[in-house]
Amino acid sequence: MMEGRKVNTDAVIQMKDIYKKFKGFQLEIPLLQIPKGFATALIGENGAGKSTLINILAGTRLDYTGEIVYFGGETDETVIRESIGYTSPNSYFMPQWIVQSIPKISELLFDSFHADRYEKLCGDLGLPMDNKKISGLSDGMRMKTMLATVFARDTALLLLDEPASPLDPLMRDKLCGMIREYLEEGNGEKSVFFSTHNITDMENVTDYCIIMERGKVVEQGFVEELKEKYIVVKGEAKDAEAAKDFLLGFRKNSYGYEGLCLAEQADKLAGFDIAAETPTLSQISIAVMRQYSALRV
Amino acid sequence: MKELIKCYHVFIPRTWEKLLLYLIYPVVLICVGRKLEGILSLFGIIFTCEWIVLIELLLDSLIFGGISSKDTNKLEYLKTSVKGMTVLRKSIFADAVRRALAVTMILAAVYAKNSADLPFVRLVMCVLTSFFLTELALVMTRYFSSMVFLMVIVSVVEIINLAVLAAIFSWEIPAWGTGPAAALCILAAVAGRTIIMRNARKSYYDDRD
Repeated sequence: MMEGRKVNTDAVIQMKDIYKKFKGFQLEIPLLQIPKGFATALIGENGAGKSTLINILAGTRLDYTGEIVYFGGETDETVIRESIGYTSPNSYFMPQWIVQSIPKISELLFDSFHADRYEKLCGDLGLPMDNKKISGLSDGMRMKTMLATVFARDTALLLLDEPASPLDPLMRDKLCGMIREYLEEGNGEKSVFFSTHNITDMENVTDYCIIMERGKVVEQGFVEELKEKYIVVKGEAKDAEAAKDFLLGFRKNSYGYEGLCLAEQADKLAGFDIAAETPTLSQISIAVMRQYSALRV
Repeated sequence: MKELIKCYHVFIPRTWEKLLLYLIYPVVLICVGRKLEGILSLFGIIFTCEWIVLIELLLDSLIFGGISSKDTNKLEYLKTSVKGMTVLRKSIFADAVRRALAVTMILAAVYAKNSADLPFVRLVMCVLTSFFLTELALVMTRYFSSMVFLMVIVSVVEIINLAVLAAIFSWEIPAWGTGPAAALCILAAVAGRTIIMRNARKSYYDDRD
């Protein structure tokens, strides 16, 4: 398995020897850096450890061992927590809260919260500012409310756990726009780290990608570099068995086979009749995940 | 003080909840208690004490409902803020202060109707008993979101409350007895707050009771 490697950029977060054990699962990250100034997607199948990792980074889970360095060495917990905007697909707000009360509560909890910005965001996202209980909102509306609270603050890093999952396609597109705008405003100083299963929808906003499987980082890199690192190979069924050993995420049907090949190993398929394509992030992710997954796919 | 109230209102966001807590519940209970006191004499204050415990426990399920329960994970937003745990601690303190004031005010108003029949020390013991048992019950009810568990605990506490009140009205209580009773009340309130805060802190470690 490929483990965390150094990237040639400043890191907004550096993790070293992160270890957390559950019954039947362990998160093990020897070294990982999240590049500063970019949108980094955390991809992996259910139970890969994405939420655990994000919870650890957001400071809502402290039962781990290892070292995390935020913002190049910031040690003041107040500064760190004020600089991070975190959303979670779980019970994030207290269920008895009402939409109208969120700005007041947020102002009490975060110094950098701007109620006027929140109100504008609510208008943009079609969120009603009424006295409806949070527990009565749909998953999508609840996620929009969370997003409005984090975007209404002055932060340097957004940690978004599955932000796209409950959103409709139009809102996913809007979310990508909001992330892009946030990064542009930050001028290289703001970063976004989000987990997602909606790789295709989020691809246009993803600069850097980390793929996790069974608690370990199995691949990472800038999307453009990964697209150069791998190629999608399609070939005829008769060559399938011979080509299998060189391909990640190998898939075969009656017409032929398909898989992801390391570009540097493409010459090993020279004797076969193949078609090579530049992969999408989704194809890379699925092939890598399939390679390391415990699922029989 | 303003900060305490602000923190408390994080858990009581709706106007009708504030009205219910600060105005409707005490006023209605004072009116009912005074009426009962007029008809049933001393039993009026006993019924009022029973109602106080019941209403306080039901209201708490609205405010902090199941906040210590292990199967819920309701504190994420508070936990992301560096001030989150302070807000929680202050709001629990404010809640205990509000409860102490409400119990005292309600029972004093009911007592004023018929003060000649009731020694003052018994009124103080009624206030302390109701407060103490409510605080003790809250330690348990805050572990459950379910209404069924809440009602079971309420029933048990009401029976204990009735027994203690019967003892207060049957025996002569020396004035000095209110001292240890008040100390027990403070202890119960502090223990309740400590348990909630310990559980909230443990939730960072996935290790709640």
